[in-house]
Amino acid sequence: MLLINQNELLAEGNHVIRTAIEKCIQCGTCSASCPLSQYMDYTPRQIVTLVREGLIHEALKTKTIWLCSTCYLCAVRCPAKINIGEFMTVLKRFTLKNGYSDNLLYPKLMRTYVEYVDKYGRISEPRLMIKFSLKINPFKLLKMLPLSMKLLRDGVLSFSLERVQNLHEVKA
Amino acid sequence: MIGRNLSYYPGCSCSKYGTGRYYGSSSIAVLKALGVDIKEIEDWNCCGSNLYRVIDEKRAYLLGVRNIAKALEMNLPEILVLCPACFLSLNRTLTEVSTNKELKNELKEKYNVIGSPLFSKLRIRHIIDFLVNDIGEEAVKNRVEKKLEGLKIAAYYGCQITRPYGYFDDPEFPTSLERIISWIGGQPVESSLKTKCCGGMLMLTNEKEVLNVIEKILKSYAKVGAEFIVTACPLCHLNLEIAKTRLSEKAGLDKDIPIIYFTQLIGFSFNIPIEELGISKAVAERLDRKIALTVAARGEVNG
Ligand code: SF4
Ligand code: SF4
Repeated sequence: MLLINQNELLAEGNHVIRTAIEKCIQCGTCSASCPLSQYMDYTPRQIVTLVREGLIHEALKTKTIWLCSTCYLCAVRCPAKINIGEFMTVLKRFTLKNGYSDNLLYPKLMRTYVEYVDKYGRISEPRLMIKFSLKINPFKLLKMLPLSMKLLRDGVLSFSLERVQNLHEVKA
Repeated sequence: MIGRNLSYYPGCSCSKYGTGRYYGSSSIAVLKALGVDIKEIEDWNCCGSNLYRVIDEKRAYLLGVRNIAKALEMNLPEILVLCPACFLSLNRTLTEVSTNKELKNELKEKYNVIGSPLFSKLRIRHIIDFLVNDIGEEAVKNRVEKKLEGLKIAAYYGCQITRPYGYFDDPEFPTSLERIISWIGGQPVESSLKTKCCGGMLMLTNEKEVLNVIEKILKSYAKVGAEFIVTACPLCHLNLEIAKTRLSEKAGLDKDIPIIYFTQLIGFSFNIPIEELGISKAVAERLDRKIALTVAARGEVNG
């Protein structure tokens, strides 16, 4: 396992990581505001503590960072003006770069999404959902069937996809 | 309001085949009815959303910038956006390119327009912002043909329309949609969780947790007596639809409570054909029935 230190993390998301390390007063407003904190293994406030203590490896292994939906309620409420949603985004990116989250669902979803964008320049949500479900658990698709039928009836669901014409411009 | 021109970025969700296509079609119809001409950005691509930004930040900005450059080439200083996630990422891209000199210089070589005077004037506008602050009360009211009298309508904003930047309204308790609802004759009711996050894409990876979060949200809507819920985000909309079938009764809401885009509702009050707006017959009948009841009740009181 790679040993990661604060400086490497600082290089990745300098501003937001530095602000959190230097300015957080550990008030817990972020944790109290977070719609998902009750399902996290560490609260957002505790993630700041881990990073501040240099326990980067522990922070990157938490479920917390992948449960952050980047809703930014923490960010607008933090008395020290720290954008914890952005802080989580940097941690996510850093985790992926250091390659120890390959079996988690959320990174898989993101990769499927990125594959689509790289290939077509745009995405089709229904196709993305199907491809993702096939990757992780095909039975999930059966569960989605009733709703899909309803959406099809309402004319909301379509599997067509318009791709970008000048794809080379997107790729470059 | 004649003569207002904006370029339009539909984004994947609100485009022709996206799940939010009726958010797109109803917005276009409503703006047209108000005399606003929007021109779709040609051959636009993915906005380079937060998801992409986690994998590759630089490339996410490059994706965003191609759309911005294409809009500038149309010589229009404002881009209209519907999807809050696209709104956020295009705004973020614009800020990044404006403040990051190195990136800006690199991009100037690729797109001439990035160095042009128009670039510094460019604004990314959300349709709520545009309707409330540019079109305004009088123009909207003048266009209403069917007042939504007696309808208790609750808006659900979701998170990213106003956060983190709060461009045009309060980041936590915005009121723009409530104003629009009252302009078209409805009675806005407000849930304290109207900007609580719906869980977004986590619905696909953490369904149980997300459904718990949405249950709380739906309960808060039941508590204030919402009869119709309007949304402004294709992802929130889809998540609420998914959750509604399983949770509305548990949350104390009518199991068929209509959840529609706020632009569909405006279009309805403008008497735009429901096919164009993507409102189902059942929902249209429900709206009409409710209005008729209110009007009849008032007649009895007055008579
Ligand atoms: S709200 Fe801000 S200051 Fe308070 S614990 Fe969270 S990050 Fe630290
Ligand atoms: S941005 Fe993330 S950490 Fe902050 S409140 Fe939202 S979900 Fe929680």
